[in-house]
Amino acid sequence: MLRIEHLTKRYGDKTAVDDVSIHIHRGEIYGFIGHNGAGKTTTIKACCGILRFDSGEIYVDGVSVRENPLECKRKIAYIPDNPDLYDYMSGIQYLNFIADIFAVPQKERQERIHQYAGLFALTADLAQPISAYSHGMKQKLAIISALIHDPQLVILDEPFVGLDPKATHQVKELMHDICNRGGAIFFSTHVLDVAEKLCDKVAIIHQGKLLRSGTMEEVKGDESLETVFLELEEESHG
Amino acid sequence: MVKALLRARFLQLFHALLRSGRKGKQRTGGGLVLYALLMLYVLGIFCWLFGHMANTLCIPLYQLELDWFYFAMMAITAVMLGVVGSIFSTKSQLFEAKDNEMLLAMPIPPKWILLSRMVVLYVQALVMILVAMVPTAVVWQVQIGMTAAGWLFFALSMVLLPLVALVLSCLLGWAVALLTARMAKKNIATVVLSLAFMAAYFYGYTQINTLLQTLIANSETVAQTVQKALYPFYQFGLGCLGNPVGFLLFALCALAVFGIVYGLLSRSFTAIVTTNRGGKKIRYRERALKVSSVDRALLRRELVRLWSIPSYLLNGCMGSLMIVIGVVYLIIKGETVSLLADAMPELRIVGVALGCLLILFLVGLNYLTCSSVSLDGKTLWLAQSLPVTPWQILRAKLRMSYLITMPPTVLACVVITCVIRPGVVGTVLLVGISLVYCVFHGMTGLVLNVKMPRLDWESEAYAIKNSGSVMAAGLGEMGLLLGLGLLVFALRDVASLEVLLVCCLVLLAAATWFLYRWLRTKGAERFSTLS
Repeated sequence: MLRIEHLTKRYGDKTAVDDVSIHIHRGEIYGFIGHNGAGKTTTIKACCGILRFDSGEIYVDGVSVRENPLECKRKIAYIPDNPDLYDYMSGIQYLNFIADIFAVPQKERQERIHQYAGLFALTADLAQPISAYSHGMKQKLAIISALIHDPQLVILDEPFVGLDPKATHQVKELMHDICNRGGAIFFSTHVLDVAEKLCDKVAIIHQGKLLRSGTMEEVKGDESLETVFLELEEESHG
Repeated sequence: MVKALLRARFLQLFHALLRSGRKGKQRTGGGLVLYALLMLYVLGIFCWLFGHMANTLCIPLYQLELDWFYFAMMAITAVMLGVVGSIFSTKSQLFEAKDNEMLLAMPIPPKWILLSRMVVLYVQALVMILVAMVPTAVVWQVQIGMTAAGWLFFALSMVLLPLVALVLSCLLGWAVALLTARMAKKNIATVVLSLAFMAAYFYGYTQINTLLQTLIANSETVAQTVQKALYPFYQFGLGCLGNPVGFLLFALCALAVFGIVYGLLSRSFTAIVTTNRGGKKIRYRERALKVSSVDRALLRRELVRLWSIPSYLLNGCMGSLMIVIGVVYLIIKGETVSLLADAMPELRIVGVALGCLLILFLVGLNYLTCSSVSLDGKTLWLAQSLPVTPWQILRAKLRMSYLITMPPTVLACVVITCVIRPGVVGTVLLVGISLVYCVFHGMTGLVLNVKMPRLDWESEAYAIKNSGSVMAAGLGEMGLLLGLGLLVFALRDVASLEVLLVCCLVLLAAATWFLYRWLRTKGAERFSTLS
């Protein structure tokens, strides 16, 4: 579903992402962990076609992000770590706008908005301007808007920040649901417990380089993900 | 602590001047010089206007032995300029800044946060006051002559006078914030209030000569009123004439009112900025959603944003509003112009040229596209992550500009054509030049904003009013119109006016084509890499 091959991205002299390769198949939840500034968001943004990269290639369902970004973006949903949405719109205006952009038929958009807004208890607030929303409500709206076009690949950057426990649980359920329907999830997180319980595969990135990747068992063995992560971090510092 | 706060505020204020908005890199020397020249140009125009006013008042008031009234009158006008020009920026910078809550969460007393914001507003008021008062002193020095003590107290008063403007704009900004806070249609209320202030300002500006004559004719009565009702300004006037008691009393008054207002605001600052006084909660009721094409959705997004930000609406639609006012005026006075055109048919084409110039000037007052990219700010990721091309997004911004600018322009062309009846060639030139300019204007603004975006703003006002692209668009287009006008005038004996207008049309069309090509290729590419 998502194939990142030898991805390299530089900002001036600094190499933010250095020869990273990750393969994510349909039905997989793939966790991406690393310290702040490790290169997670840069990688994610490159996958979504927001950021140009210097070398390597990214394919979404076999389509090159570099050569055909629009085709890739139609298959993807991206939820950033900080949901800066259009504050001047109401929740429903925003969802309808996103549905228009993805050309979601009226019946489907109506049904999905009803379903997901209900799930996140946001229905009553949809007429309110987004500027009046709390951080958590914005995050929920961003998630609903990401699901409105029934994406095959959902890319999330720190998706659980700001969400209440119920919404966090629902997001995890939705992630499983997407995978069960043949989609895939690629998400970054600092919450290692969540990653350990939720992910089928995981990749650990440090200073732009991939330290370890594979199935959860391959990466952590008999230890906890937290222990492995801290050991790898220490080794790379040493 | 205060030093750190002030440094942060001034960094923000001078960001557009010293650094590029796109990547935060230092501007080049050439860019700085150009920016400084543009600022000098604007300040120069204001200085000239106030110098003219001072020149009209100086001798008559001196002859009436109302020397103090000259300085007091000019100070009142300067304070008015400072207040009218800053009520809404005071409101947004003091009470609606997006980093207020972040700062309040830090171990900083609210009074210091307020003070750091007021210092920036003070500097802005100081610039406006100096623009009016420096020509005042220079004119008096040249015409009458100032004493050394007069110069000293005048200079010291210049430090204090902005405090008066600051106090008034803070109080009015506070009142406007309170007035609009609970309103359901907050944006409309803000726009109406802004238009009312502007109408009053423009009325005063258009009536300035009449007002000055009335003032001179009734100077003694007005002076007596000012002496009683605006006592600090009376003392200010005396101070500028070298009277130390006058200066001291004025200084005392200015510092006292500032102290009282600062005390009041700092006591209630936290409550003002954190209390949510929003209108009633609107409950969502499910209904059929309207399905639109991608292009329509993008255009609607631009229009929703335009409608929801009062300062954007005002800056973006002022030209169109003035065209409509002009059209109404022309309809009322149309008969006189028609009679003139009938009496001198050879002047019809001159009417076309003047009509074009006026329409083009007013179209140039619609500052829409030149801030539309900056306004995407932190939400730029959305446009970049959606399955739309950069050109589709830029085209939506252009279409919004055409939608706001073209209908009143066409209306103006129809009315001008009906009034002066310029014939087929004249009509084609009038409509052609006006509409091509609408396209040119939209594209120029967008090119400038793509090249000079300001994405890191804390208040929309910085993107809408203080960015380099807005200033460059406004002054650049004014310079272009002036240049075209002078060129046509200079070549009037070389070719007929019709031929010269055709040349203008061709030049504008060629420039528009060039801008279009740039936006579709390099502009779209640049937009897609903005961050």
